[in-house]
This record gives sequence, structure tokens and C-alpha cells, in this order.
Amino acid sequence: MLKYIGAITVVFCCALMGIKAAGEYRARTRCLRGLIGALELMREEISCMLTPMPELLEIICKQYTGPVANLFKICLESMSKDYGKGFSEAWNTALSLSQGLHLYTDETETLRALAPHLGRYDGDGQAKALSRAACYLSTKLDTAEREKSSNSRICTAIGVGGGIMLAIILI
Amino acid sequence: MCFDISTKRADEAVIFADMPSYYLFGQEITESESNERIMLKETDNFIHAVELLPPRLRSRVSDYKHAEEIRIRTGRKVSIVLPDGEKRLSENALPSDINYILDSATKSSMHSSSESLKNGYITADGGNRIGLCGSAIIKNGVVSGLRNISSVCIRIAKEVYGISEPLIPELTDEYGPLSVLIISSPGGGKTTLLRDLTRAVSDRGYTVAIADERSEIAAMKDAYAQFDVGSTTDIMDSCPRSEAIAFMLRAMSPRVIVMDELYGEDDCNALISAIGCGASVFATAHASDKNDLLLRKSLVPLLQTGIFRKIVCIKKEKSGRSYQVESL
Repeated sequence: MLKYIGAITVVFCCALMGIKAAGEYRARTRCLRGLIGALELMREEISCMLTPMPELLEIICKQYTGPVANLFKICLESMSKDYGKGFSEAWNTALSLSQGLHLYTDETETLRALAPHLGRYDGDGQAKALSRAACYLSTKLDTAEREKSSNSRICTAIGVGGGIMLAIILI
Repeated sequence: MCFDISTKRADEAVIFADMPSYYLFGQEITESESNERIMLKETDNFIHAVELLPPRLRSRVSDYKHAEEIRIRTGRKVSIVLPDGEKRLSENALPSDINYILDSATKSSMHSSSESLKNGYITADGGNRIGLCGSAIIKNGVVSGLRNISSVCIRIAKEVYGISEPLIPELTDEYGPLSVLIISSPGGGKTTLLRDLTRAVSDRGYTVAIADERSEIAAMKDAYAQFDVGSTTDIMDSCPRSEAIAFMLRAMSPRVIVMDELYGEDDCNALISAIGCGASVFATAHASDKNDLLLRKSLVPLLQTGIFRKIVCIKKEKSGRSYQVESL
């Protein structure tokens, strides 16, 4: 009896690991989509409404959830009176501290490159920088979508299948 | 008629030689209440101004609570303009200090202040105005912004209650407020007098509309005026004055229109278009006296219309400020 309980546990754990690996792909696409949306929102607010940065960050925090909202929340908090950082410094701090964004180094650097542009001088320049970043992340999102559709099923299958095989071997 | 009003700058109390009365919301208040109110507001604005500075300069500047201006020029010593002259600190200003001030003043949102930046200033919390100098960015032959900002002048906004009360009889007739132009050289206290005159007239029940293009008169924040500009005052904030006047005349039926610092032809044309609408105008202009005013070619057509019935000339002297009312 114990043997079968152990085997089921092994299958369950391996399947969970596979599902978790597949979930990473899903989370990455979700984050990239969220970030692109947030950057687009920033671009529109800056170029059309000239919304000040603290208000803009608040709007994004309300509209988004999860790691994307957390990134902007950390930035907003860093800019608050207690911390007194400018946007540039606060944005870099937020990128360093925020977790669960599932970004590769080049994507993080693309976001980091926005720091000297945002909050500075004309709205047009900022809008262009945001468009460039959103465009780069969009191409990354396409790749991530492709990876998700092919790899997430494989991961789940490997997890479940590997678990069954391991259980059979152990039995 | 000339009123002499001495201003005790060290204590920030205001004493009227002819009329020792103080008013708040149209009601007489005691001298200590007035002083307390003035002190609180000025301290608030001074704190706002100090908070704009980088931490390394804050502690040095915070000792000068009676500062009128804080001037920062890259590579030069930070200086503070006090009522009795300019004081230079030992610290040299760095470009990073200026960037810090701009970030603080605009909350890292220079784009939100791009229109005022074109005109070389930003209005910060509390109505403090930050004047800027640097390299102009020219697009299509027009200044579209500033870069490499090298000088910053933080002007600490003041609110002095009751300063206009002795002038009110001269500036009104049996039908109500007359159109008034307040003149002085820069830093003479035109906006301070204009603000108090606005409050005084408004609290007497006249509907007042302020075209506050630079957010200096009322200092609007989150839809609230940070300065007391009266109980029957409507404020059109951050809007070009010509458009603001048209909006307000159409929508708010003002008895008095208020605007600060007439400068170019646009301002004058905006006011000329308001002539005959039944509203009086309170405005200010840079000029040391009436003769100086007539030398300003852009203002002459406006003055020739006869829109202004009275001129208040402010003279800044060591003992305080004197206010001279003349008919036009």
C-alpha cells in the first residue's frame, strides 16, 4: 500500500514540476503583455494628457496586477517624500527590487534605458522612447508566445510522463 | 493720495500707518491673529522651497527663514536674497543640484510643465515660482524649451493679509471696484498686493475671476487654492490668459477679472477684448513708475483705451514698502 502511495506522490510531484515549468512560460508572456500595455498607457498619458509621473504610476498600479503593478508600485514608493528619489533613480531601484517579472537581461536593460528619458523635458521624446521599448518587448512577446505554445505542453507532458516512469521504475 | 505702509520684515508683521486694522475673509481680526496667519503661510512656503533643494544644501538654507529668493548658479556660490540684501553661502552649486531641484519641483515630470518651461519658469508647491536660465531649444524659430539649465531662482511666494485694505476706498467708487494696474520694479510685491486686493474685493461680495496662467496668484493644487483669494473667486488655472478671459466672461459672469504681469501684445489684446463687458480689471506690470510704464510700447495701446482708472505704484524702501495711488 505504502509503495502505491509513494508512487502516486512521485507522479504528483513530477507533474507539479512540469506544470510549474509550463507556468513560467505563461507568466512570462503575461508579464510581457502587461509591461507593453503599461508602457503604451504611459506613452498615451504623457503625450496626450501630460500626466505627471506620480499620478501616472498610480494609474498603472490601479489598472494592473501582479509583478507589473508591483514594479510601478516600488517606483512610486521610491519617489515618495520619504525616499525622495527622482524618477530615474526610482525606476532603476524598482527594476532591481521587483521580482517575478520573468524578464531576460536584455529586456530589463531595455526598461532600464528608459530611466534617463522619462520625466525629462518634452513629452515627444519620452513618447518615442516608450514606443521603442514597447516595440522591442512586443517582438520578445511574439517569441515568448511561440515558446509558450510549444514548450509549455512539453513541460507538462515531461513532468507527468517522467513521474509515471520514475514511479514504475521505483515499484 | 499716498498711503505709507511700513513692513516689519524681521517679524513679518504688517503695520498700517493710517489704518491699524487687519482683515480676514472681510472681517476685522486682531493684529496677533494676522501675524500668526502670515507667519504660518510664509513658513509653509519657505519649507516648500527648502524641500526642493538637494539634502546637502537644505540644512544651510533652512536657517534663513526670511529669505525672499534662493538663487543657484552652476559653479557659483549659492545665494539667498534676504530683505536686507543678498547672502552668499560657502557651497558652490553643481549641475546635479539644479537637476535635483527640477526633479523635485516637477515631481520628475518636466513634460507636465513644458509650457511654462518655454517661458523660463516652473511653479512649485505653495505657489513658489522657479525662474530658469539655460540654453534655449529653438524649433521652427520659436523657443520650445530649455536645456543645460545653469541658473535657478526660487522666489518664495508671500501672502500678506490686509495689505490692500487702506487702498480699497481709493480703488472703488459707488458702483464697485475700479480697474486697477499695480506697478513696481521686479520683486516689489505686485503679486502679493494683487492677491490681497483680490481677496478683499471678493470677500466684499464681488464675483472675481482670476486668469492664473502661472499658478502664482491662487497656486491651485488638487482643485484647491493654496492662497486665500476670497470667498467669491473663480480661478482658471494654467490657461493662457487670452483664452481664460474669454472662458470666464462667457461662463462665470465676473465683476472683476484678475491677471498678473501684463507683458506682451497678446496679454494687452486679451484685455482690450474684455473692455466694455462690464467687468473691472486688476492687473500688474513691471514698471518703476507711471513714466516708466508709458515707455513700454506693448502696453501703450492698452493704456490708451482708458481701461485702467487707477494705478498703484509700489516703492520698495529700506523701511518697508509704500503704496501710491494715482488716477489715469
